[in-house]
Amino acid sequence: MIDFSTLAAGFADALTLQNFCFVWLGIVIGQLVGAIPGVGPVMAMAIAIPFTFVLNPLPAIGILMGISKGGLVGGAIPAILINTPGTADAAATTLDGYPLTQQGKPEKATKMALYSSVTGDAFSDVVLITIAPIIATVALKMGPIEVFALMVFAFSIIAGLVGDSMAKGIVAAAMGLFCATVGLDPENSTPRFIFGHFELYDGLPLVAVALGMLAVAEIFRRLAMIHGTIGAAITIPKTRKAADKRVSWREFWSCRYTILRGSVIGTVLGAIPGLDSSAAAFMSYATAKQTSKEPESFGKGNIHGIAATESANSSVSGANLIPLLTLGIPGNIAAALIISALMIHGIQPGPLLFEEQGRLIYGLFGLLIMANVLNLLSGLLGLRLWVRVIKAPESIIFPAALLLCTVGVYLATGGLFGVVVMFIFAILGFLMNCMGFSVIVFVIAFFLGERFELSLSQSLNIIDGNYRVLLAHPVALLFFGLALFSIFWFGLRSKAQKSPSASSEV
Amino acid sequence: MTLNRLSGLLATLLGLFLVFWVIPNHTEPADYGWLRPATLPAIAAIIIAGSGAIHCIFPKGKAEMEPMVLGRVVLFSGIGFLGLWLMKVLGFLVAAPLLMLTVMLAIGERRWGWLVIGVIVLPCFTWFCVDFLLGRPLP
Repeated sequence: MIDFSTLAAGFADALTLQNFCFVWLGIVIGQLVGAIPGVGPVMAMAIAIPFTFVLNPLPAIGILMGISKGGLVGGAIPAILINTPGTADAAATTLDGYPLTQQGKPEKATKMALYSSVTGDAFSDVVLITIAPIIATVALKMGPIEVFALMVFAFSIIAGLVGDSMAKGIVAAAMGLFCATVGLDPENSTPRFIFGHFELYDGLPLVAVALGMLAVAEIFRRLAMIHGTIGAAITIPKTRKAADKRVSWREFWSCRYTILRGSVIGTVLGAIPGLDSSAAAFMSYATAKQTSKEPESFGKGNIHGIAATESANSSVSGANLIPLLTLGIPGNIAAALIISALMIHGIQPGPLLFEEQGRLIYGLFGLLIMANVLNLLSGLLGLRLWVRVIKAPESIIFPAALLLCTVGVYLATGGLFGVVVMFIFAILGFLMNCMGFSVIVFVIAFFLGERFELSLSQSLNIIDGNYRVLLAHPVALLFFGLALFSIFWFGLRSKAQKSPSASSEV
Repeated sequence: MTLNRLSGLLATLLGLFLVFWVIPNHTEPADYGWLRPATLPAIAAIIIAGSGAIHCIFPKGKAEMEPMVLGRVVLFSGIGFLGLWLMKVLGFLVAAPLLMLTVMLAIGERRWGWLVIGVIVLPCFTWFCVDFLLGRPLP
């Protein structure tokens, strides 16, 4: 039962000028570092933690939450403007964000990303505040079999993204899955496909593969296509309509179901420790595309695509606090940094936290709400500045993006080996694009692959040949059922609905 | 044979290469456990080969590749790898401006102002932010 006097006292603690300033500072830092590819809010949070020692717990956590939330908005900016996601969370935002920029609508795309991000974030915060203990209990009951079933369901969603050729889509997914098996195998811990490089013991670095396939491949292609006169990276017509610069209420309202669905996907996945916001963004995107009346417009600058990805990846951040605060389990790296900051201040996250430190927790909830409002305001002011950047010539933008990707991957992977991997996957991404294989499907399968194999291995050991054990896992059966349904709905049904005009080309 | 059909053939060859050479030579045998080291990679490789063959026989979708663009992508990839090697040998502050200069000249940029921004200002600003402010050493 909520003690309303504690709740009111907590919110009153949060609403001070000092907290306001620290949260805003965190958001500005977060948006800035989020916009620099490869640097990201996690690194800034790690650097900021020592500086929070001198602060009280509430402003200390406030500045870290501000960096985390600001980074979610900042990551979408380069994803939309130069097709280079600032953070891995924003990789899916490039799919529709960059085409909108190419159409001369960068303000519309960035504003849609901002509104969706803040809405998704606010949704997950409301869920966190209201039903955190219930969700955490359900998430804790998910064992390896349920996680494996969830992975199967996630793979089935890919069926909606394979494009014109199912065979090519399956090849791309299998290639992603194969690349995910590089490194130590989960059951015997023996090295696979490392070719003498000890750096590969932990597998291919996700950030190098994702940036290589999604960003650097496109940078190479754009550089290769520059002939003669060098123009601006993006040509924005001077005679644009006012509607191209803003998101009208009607447009935002038309995305309400997409944003709500993305927020729910992000919140559910965020409450499960270990699943990060990239998975939520891609799942939300695939679902939005398949449920859309115009699925062919996705990938060509549909604002629903941006709404789907940004609402999902941002809602993960609030949901990640659910297992953290109620069970003491950090859901991702950012949550792990927050948990360490809490412990530095003598606060032990876990089931007793709400009873022992209720006022502090409700104060933290107050900060989350404040951070959302400040994130929106800071984003609106900052976006104007960022959109000006892309008016520079492409001879600056693309080499600079290449340099930032190089530095970002070097920092994220701790060496030049990761950058080499990025370049190799950039070439692979370019070739796959030319041959018509879906790069997105590859990256999703690669991302899910490691956890898929681990949960498969654990599940097979638990089942031990007796498949009746599955009957004791209704949540897993539910996910398997959903997987079958989504394969039918996203894959087979949509293929069957296609007109004969989409027939084979021999 | 169209490029689209050829892409299926290449996928099939890749799958077979993985099944018959890469997986046997780069995984360790294990005679216990439900999921052996080679199990999932082998399944993935067989799917690649099988789906590639199906696509080769019944091609759908499209594939386009301009030789000129491909050649220039190879050129820029080469410049990238050369830049990495230089970073390893000479360090970021020397190699990054050289990398930027080569890329900008290769795409035809000849304006001094933009060259100075790209070759001097951007690498120095990146170094200042990352190495100096964030305290993360660059190569």
